[in-house]
This record gives sequence, C-alpha cells and structure tokens, in this order.
Amino acid sequence: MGKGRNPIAGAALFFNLPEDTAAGEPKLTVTGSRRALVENHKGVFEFSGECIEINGGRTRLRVRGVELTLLSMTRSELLIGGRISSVEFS
Amino acid sequence: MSSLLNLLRGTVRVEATGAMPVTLLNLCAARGLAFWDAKAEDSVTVRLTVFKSDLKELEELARRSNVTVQAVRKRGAPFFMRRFRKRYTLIAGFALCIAALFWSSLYIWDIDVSGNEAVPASKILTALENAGVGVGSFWPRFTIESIRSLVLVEVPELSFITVNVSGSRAEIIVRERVPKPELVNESVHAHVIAEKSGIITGMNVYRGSASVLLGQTVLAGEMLVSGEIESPFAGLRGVRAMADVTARTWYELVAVQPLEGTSKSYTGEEKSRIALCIGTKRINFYGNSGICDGNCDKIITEKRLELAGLFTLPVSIVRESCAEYELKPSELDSRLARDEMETELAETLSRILGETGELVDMNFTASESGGLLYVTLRAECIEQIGIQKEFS
Repeated sequence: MGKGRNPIAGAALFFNLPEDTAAGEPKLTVTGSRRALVENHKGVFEFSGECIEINGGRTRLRVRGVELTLLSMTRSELLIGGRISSVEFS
Repeated sequence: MSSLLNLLRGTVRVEATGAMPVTLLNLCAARGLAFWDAKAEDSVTVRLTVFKSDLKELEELARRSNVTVQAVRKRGAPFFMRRFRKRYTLIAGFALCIAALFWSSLYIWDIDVSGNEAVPASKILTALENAGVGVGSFWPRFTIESIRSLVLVEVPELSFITVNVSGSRAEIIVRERVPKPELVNESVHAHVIAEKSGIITGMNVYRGSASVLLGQTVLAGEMLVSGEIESPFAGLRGVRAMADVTARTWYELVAVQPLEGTSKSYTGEEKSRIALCIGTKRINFYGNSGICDGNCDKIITEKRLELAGLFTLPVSIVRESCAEYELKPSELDSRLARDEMETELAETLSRILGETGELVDMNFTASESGGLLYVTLRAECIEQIGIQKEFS
C-alpha cells in the first residue's frame, strides 16, 4: 500500500470489489468529448470555462477543455458539458 | 418533459458574484438545491439556473458564502401569470369563460347516430326528441333506461340503443332488429310455376313432381313442378312443391327521352347571407326573407365552433349562397343522353335480376324519331324463375 493510499480502497482492490462503491473513490465516465460524469465527488475547487477542478477525496480531478459548463450538480454527482480536451489526476 | 416541468415551475437565471463563487455551488450541492447550466463568466462570476421556488434558499446560501446573487432572467408560468395579477377584469372574464364552457358542456349541441342501415336517422332523431334528447337538452337529466324504453317502443325496428355523451356531443349507437323470416305453412298445397318465360337450364326438385324437362321452353305462369303426387297407396295427394328452377331468359327494356329540353344558365348574380345560430336561436344578418327571388340554386354551409370532435359549442355560422339562373331551351347532347340512359337501363336490369340472376349477354341500340331518343337494351340472362302458387 503506497503513501496516501486509502486503506479501504486497498482492501477493496485486494478483495476485487468495486472501489467506487466500497471505498467511495471518485468514478469518472466520459462520453465522447462532450460530456463527463463524476460520481462520488466531494465538491468543486475551481470552476472556469477552461478548467474544472474537482475534489475526489484523496484524488483531485482536473477536467480541461473549452466552454466547460456544470450541466448539473448534486451531492454525489457532477455532470460536465463542453469540449473536453483532457482529464488530469493528482 | 423536463423542459415542460421547468416551464410550469418557473426558472430563474441568476448571476453569482463573489471572491469564491464556487463555494455557493458546493453549498447548493450539499443542501440538495437543484441547479443546472452553471457557466463561469469570469473568475468571480458564475451564472446558474434554479427553480423559482428555490430562489429564497439560494439567496440565503449566497449570503453565507459571501456571494451576491442577482436574477438576470425569469421564465415560466408563475412569472407569466404574475403579469395578470392586478388585471381583475381579465381574470373575471377568463373565469366567466371557463364557467360558460362548463355550463355549455352540460347541454347537447351535436347528435350523431350510427349503426342504422334500414331505419333512417331522422326517424331515430325524432324518437329521441320525443324522449327528451335533442339539441339543447340538459344531458345530466338523461337516464339511458328511460331513453331506451321510449325510443324502442316508438321505433320497433330497433333492438338496442345507447347514448354516449362526450362533451356536448351525443353519440347514439343503435342496432337494428333482424326481420323475422317468413314462415311457410306446410299444410297449404302449392305448385311451382314459372314467373317468367324462358328455356329451362337447371332443375332441383325438392318436393312435388316435375312437369317440364331440361331444355324445354316455358311461358310465364306455366306449371314447372306439380304439387299433386300420385301415390300407389293413397291415390293423388297434395303437397307443397319446392324446387329451384333456373332458366335462360331474355329482356328488352326501352328508355325514351326528348332531345330538346331546358338547361340552367347562370346569370352570374350571386347573393350571400350570413346568420348566427346560438343553440336553437337564429340571428339573421339580413333584412329580407331567406327566399330567393326567381330561380336560384341555394347552397347552405354551416360552420360549427368545435374542438376537433371533442367539444362542441352551441354556436354556428350559417352562410347561404344563392346563385341565380335562367332556364333556357337547349338541345340535348344525344351522345351524353344515350350514355346516361344506357347506365340507367343497366341499373334497372340489375335490380330486376337481383342477387340470384346472372347476366350472360347485353347490348344496346339507339334511335331518334319525332324529337325523341329511344335506347333499347336487349339482354340474355340466367335466373331463378320458379315461384310457388297455392291451390286448394
């Protein structure tokens, strides 16, 4: 188990369980390059037309693109629209 | 569907400005406040859309996150209706209109009869009128049982009637009574005789003794099958003879028509009159009577105010057009007249033959004499010619 790794996520990985449901890890689904759905998010850090930085708990997701829009946002899900060019994790 | 829901609930596009407008978005998501279509205008401004009912809560959340919100666009039914809040006359008029529509829907303004073939609709409508179902009658007072008992007594040809009222339209569905078959009195003796002259082509004798042979020529009224049978035990005894006798028959039908007649010549003068019918009342928008002067063709068109067959209002506009014409003597187009007469003769023959008769050959000849056009039809047919004739 590496540094900063969620122990529950490690256990889920060990027992071959889905990490998003077992450990609450963020799940990203990108449809084409126009839509991205982030599940199990913990909020938004930064929001602009070119970049949306999302709090994923131990992970940070950075969606980059043009004319990015928050199509909808609930406590656990976040739907991003626009022309997505890249997704970064840190 | 969601767009329609948004339109009904009303939506507000707000502009959130502050040092960290994203905090407001996180707070909204955490509180379960629905928002959508959030766009960042710049680093301190975000535009988002919320429901009208959530606007108060959004303002509260904005105050807590040090963000100022300002409505930039309002859409939907609540905002539209708000415009009419102080227009009392309009609201009263609208309410009155709804009440009038509701009141009007309690009355019958259109009656449609279906399911009748032999019984004319006018007869059924008259019986319904006598039973209290007519244009302008109050339908909640109806009872199907009373209508049924009254109408079925008045129109015995019907076996069933029901009234379906939808809006102001009454749909009358009827079923006609199947006519009772004619019962044959077997105790009355009868011969089978020829109804028409012809050459016998087929005979199926069910009862009685055949008096003619196949290929024999018979005249109308001649006996085909005798109802008197010779019995070795009881001598001569009478029966009701029954047989199918087919024969080759010939017809000659003549139609005559004068070659000179009168035809309509329109003068070009046309008058239109308009009347408004409200319920059973008629308001004429013309001074003189509805009778046209001289010869004229009157065309009446009625436009009823209705909603695609669902709802009918008791208001209709009646337009009467009178096209004046003069009768002028004219020579008949003999070719056209001949075609019409031939068609009529063929139809007459078809009626004579009925369903059982069969046409073998048919030809027409035409001649003109004394200003008259004669068209003659000659036809060869095969048909049933046997009819029963009772004897004592």
